Amino acid sequence: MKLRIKIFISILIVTLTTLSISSYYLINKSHLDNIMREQDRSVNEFDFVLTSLDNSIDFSIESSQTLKELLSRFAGYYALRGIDLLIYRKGVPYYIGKASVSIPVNSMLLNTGRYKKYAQIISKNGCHYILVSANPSFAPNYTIVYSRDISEIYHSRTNSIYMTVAMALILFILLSFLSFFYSRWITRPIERLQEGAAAISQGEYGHRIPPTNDEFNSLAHAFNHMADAVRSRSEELEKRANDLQEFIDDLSHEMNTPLTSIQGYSEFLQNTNASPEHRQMALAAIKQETKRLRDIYEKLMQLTISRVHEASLQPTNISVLFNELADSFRPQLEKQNAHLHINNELDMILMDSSFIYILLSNFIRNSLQALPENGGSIGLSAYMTDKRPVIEVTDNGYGIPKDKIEAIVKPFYRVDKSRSRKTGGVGLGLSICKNIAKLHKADFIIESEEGKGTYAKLIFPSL
Amino acid sequence: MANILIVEDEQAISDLIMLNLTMVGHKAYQAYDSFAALELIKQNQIDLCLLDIMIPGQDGFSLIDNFLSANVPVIYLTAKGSLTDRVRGLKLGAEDYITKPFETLELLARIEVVLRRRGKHANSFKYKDVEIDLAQRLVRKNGSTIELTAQEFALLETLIQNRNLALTRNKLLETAWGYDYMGESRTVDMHIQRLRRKLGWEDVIKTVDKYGYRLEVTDEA
Repeated sequence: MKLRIKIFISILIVTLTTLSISSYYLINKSHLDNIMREQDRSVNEFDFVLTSLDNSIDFSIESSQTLKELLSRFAGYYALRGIDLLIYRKGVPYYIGKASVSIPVNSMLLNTGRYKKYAQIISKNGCHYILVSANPSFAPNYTIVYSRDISEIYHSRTNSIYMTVAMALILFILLSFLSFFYSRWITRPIERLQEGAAAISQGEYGHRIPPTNDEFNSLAHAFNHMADAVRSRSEELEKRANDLQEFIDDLSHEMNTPLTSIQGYSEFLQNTNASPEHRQMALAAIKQETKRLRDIYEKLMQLTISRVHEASLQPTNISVLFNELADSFRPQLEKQNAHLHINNELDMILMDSSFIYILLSNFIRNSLQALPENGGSIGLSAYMTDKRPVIEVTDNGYGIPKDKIEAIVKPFYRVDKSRSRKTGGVGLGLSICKNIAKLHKADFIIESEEGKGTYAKLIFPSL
Repeated sequence: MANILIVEDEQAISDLIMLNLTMVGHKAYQAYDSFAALELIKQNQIDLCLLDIMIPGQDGFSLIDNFLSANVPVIYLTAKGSLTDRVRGLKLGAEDYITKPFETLELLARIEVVLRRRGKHANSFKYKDVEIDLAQRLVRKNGSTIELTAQEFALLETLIQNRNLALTRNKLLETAWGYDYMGESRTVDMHIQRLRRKLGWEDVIKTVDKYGYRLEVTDEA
């Protein structure tokens, strides 16, 4: 059941129950009061009647005939005032008059005991009578019964009950209206919350709940906060999916080109009686394109490993690392007539040396590509900044245009396609570097100025 | 024989196209970026341009106007295979749009179509004592006319257009007989035998083992 309906029904039940119980109690109380009052009045009146009876009639002297006559006259006087008098002699009706009540023979009214009074209410034909009886001292053989119609009290009680029921009905209708709108007003924030949740589950991540000024405000706030989180997470997932799709598109393009060449050249060799020079050319091209595919494969493997694996950090001697790098790049450096300046101020750094070797190789290879045909220099240095070890590769090459520096870490991105084509770069180097830096929790910064050179910095976490 | 400009930044692919074009008797010019391409059409009489889209400098879409205004027909040869790129390329006025990877024979066939449409294709072919007039469908050997059936001539034309390249029997059936022809490879063999006999080309139309046939002309006149 909806909360709104629960509130609605609760209000109705509580109100109507309270009303009924209190009304019942009040009506009953006033009824009992009335009866008590009537009883007191009746007893008083009865006493008065008895006194006047004692004064006017002598039960012991008068003959039965005369007594009855006297009693009839006496009772007739009271009958005009709504009071019936019944007189029993030794339990047997002696004078009844026009009384409309009859008293059962074994009633306590007729056996009050000597000189005692007894009061009782008797109903007959929908009318109620209060009866008071006594065995007076002046007439020991008689029982005098006083009877008066008190139906009025009962009628007024019935009327009160009818009134209350009518009131309850009117109240019910009025209350229904009020509590309907009230419960709606109370549950409005919950409905807003529900609408919000539904909207978000439908993918409307921009949906927000307006603030209120009650306890729901913090809930709405929390909800909106959650919606923000959901949105940013879904955007992040979308971006990641897009990046992945872009990566796959680029990868397929990168693999397509060498495959097209290899396929075309092998067809050429198969289908033609080409001259020996042309055959050599075709074979060289197949070899070169195959090597390019293998480069892509190797870089992809490095990328995967650097993404999946955890670095096993060990203290590594920087001088040894730098010397290894210098040795491996010597042939290329000599070919381009470039100089490698090494400046090491550090002893050991905690790192996974094989990964850092790959990273620095990529840095140096990028620098070599940026250098002019002849001359140029590359700096490889290690030092401390703000208690953090830094390894830096600098060059005085072409530099990277400002608008492209953001894009260089993207997979397969090349600043100058035609130049890297000749040097055989795949475009994955910096993606790998980024992952390797992340493995070491190191910061990876590239600064560049077009025409002046590039700084690539790897800043390790403080020791 | 036509002068064809290849604008392609991948040197291996550019060389591949160049080798194949040279084989079938065209003269190929190579440009690796938009600047070299613009230089080349200024200095040479170019009959057709094979244009890549993603090249250094101006891209292929913005470069096409320079070729069209110089009355050089353009065929896009690109890795961009999406429908929107294709439509864009053709709307810009390209004669054709070929995506990589491509088949050499298909590329040559499409080049031939464009050259024919432009009236730049070879009308005649001469090798040693045999002269073939492709427009009038006449074949002469030593000045005397040789009678060829229509089917034999179609086969001969296919061999000439793809000269120096081996063609499989299926490829020959497809090209000279048409896609719908449900012939057998023996049909090709029989027609090749007749062509060799009539033209005296027993050594010129070479059988390539387990593959097909190749019209081998080393020094064209």
